[in-house]
Amino acid sequence: MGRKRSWTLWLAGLFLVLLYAAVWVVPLFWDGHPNRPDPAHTLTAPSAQHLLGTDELGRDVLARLLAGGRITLSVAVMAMVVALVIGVTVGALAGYFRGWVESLLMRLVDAIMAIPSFFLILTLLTIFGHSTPMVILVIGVNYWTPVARMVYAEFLRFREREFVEASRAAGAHSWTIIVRHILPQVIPSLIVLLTLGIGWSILAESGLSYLGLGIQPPQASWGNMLQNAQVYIWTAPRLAIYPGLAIMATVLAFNALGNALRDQLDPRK
Amino acid sequence: MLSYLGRRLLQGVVVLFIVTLLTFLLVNAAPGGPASLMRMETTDAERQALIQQLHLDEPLWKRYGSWLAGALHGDLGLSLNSREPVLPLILKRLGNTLQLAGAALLLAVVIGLPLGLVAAMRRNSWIDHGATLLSTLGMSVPDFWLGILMIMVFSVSWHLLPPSGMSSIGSAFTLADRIRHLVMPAIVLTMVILPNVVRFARSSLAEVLDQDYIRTAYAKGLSARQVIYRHALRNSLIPVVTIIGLLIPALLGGSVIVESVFGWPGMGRLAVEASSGRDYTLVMAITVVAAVVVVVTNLLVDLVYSLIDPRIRHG
Repeated sequence: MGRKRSWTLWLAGLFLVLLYAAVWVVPLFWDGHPNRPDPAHTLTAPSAQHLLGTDELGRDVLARLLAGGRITLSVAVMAMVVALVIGVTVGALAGYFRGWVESLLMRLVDAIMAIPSFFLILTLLTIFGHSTPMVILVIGVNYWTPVARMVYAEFLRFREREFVEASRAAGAHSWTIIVRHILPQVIPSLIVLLTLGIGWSILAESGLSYLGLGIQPPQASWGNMLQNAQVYIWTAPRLAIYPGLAIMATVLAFNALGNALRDQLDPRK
Repeated sequence: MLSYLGRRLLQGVVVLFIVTLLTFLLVNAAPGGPASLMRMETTDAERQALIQQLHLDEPLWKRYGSWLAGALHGDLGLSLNSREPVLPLILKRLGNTLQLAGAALLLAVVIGLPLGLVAAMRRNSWIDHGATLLSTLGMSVPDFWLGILMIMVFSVSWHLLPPSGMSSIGSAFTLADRIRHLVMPAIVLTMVILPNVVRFARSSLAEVLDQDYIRTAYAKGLSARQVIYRHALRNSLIPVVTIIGLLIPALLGGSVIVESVFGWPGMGRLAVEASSGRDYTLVMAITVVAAVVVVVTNLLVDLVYSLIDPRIRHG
C-alpha cells in the first residue's frame, strides 16, 4: 500500500509543479494576449501561430487556458486560507473551552452544513455581488465548516492528554496551550483536508463561472471558458474539451495528493 | 425510542431556526440587501413606499419575527422581480428537482452499493482497484463538463437523447418521453454522489469483515458465502442507510449545476435565475426550503435507522 501511494504522491506532485510553472512562468516569456480579440481569425483550428486554435472572438485558447489557470488556482488556494482561518478559530475555541461556546459554535456549524453548499454560495453572491474577491470569500465560507468539525474533534481528543494537563498544571495560559501544544498536533490532518479542499474549490469556482456567476469575462477562467463553449458545441467541440480536461486533471492531482498524504500521515489505515 | 426521536426533532428545529435567522440577517443587514434600495435613484415618494412595503422603519428583530410568523404560515414573501409569492413558485419547481434527485439517488444505490460491497469482499482485486479509480475520477470530474460531453456524444453526434428540457415540445406527456429526458441529467447527478456511496459501502462491509464474530463464523466452518450473506451483509447495510441522509445536501447542491446544463426546470435552476436577477427574497426562500428538505429527510433517515437498529434507540 505504502509503495503504491508514494508513487501517486510523486506523480500528482510532479504534475502540480509543472502546472504551476506553466501558468506562472510561461507568461514571462510569451504573451499570447488572452483577452485580445481578432475578428479575422475566429474559431480557427490549432496552428503554428495558435497552438490550440482560437475561440469565438479570435482569442488564443492556449493563452486563455494559462490565464484561466492562474485565476482558478489562486482563487482555490485563497479560499482555503479563508476556510483555514475561520475553521481553525471556531473549531479550536469550541473544542478547548467547551460549555456554551461549544454549543453555540457547533450548532452554527450544524446549521450551515444543513444548507446545500451551492444554495449558500448563490445566496451570498446574490447579496454581495459577483466580484472575484467575493467568489474567494464565498467558497472559503463554504469549506470552513468541515475544517471546524475536524479541528473540534481533534481538540476534544487532545485536551485531556497528559502533555496538555502537564502544561496546564505548570500554569500555562490557555492561549499558549491552544497554539503551542494542541494546534501542532492537528496540522497533518489540516494539510490533508485543505489539499482535498483545493480540489473541491476548483470544482466550485469553475461551476460558478460556468453559470456566469463566478469569475466575470473578459477575465478567463477554466469555468467561464466552458460557458461559451456549449454554444459552439456543434462547430468547435474542442473548445469544450481543453478547459474541462484542465479542470479534471488538476482536481484529480489535488485529490490524489490529499489521499496519498493521508495514507502517509496516518499509519493506522 | 420516542425520547430519541424527540431529541432529534428538537435538534432539527434548532438548526432550521439558526438557518432562517442567518439568511434573514444576511439578506437584511448586508450592504447589498434592502438597505441598498435606499441608495438607488428613486424619488422620495418611491422611497417612502418601499420603506412602508418592506417595513424598513421597524427594528430588525421585529422584522425577523413577522417574517418567521409568515414563514410558519407558508408565506415566504414576494419575489422582487416578478412580484409573485415565492413559495408556490418554488414548490412548482421542487417537484421537478425531487424527480431528478430521486432518479439519481436510485441509480447511485443500484450501481454504487453492489460495487462497494464486491470491492470489500475482494480487497485488492481488480474490481476493488476499479471501484477506487471510478470514485476518484467521479470526485474529480466537473459535473457540468460531463454533462456537456454527454450532450456532445448522445445528442449532437448520435441524436439519441434530447439535449435539454423535461419533455418534448408539443407532445402529450408520456413516461417514455420523460425518461428519455431524464437519463442524461440523472446520470450526471449520480456521478456527484456515486463516489461516496461506493466508498461508504466498501468501508462499512470491510469494517464488519474485520470483526471477531466473523472470524468465529469462519472458524466454526461456515463457507465464505454463508458468512457474508448470513452475518456480514446484514450488519454492514445498516450504516449505509445513514449515508442517504448525508447525500441529500449534495444532491440538492448538485442540482443547481446539472439543471442549468440540461435546462431542467427545477429549484436549482430557479436559484441560478434568481441570483442572476439579484432577486434575493427568492434566493433566500429557496435556501430555506432546501434546508427544510435536508433537515426533514435527515429526520426520516434517523427514524428508519432507529427502527432497524435497536442499539440506536438506547444509545
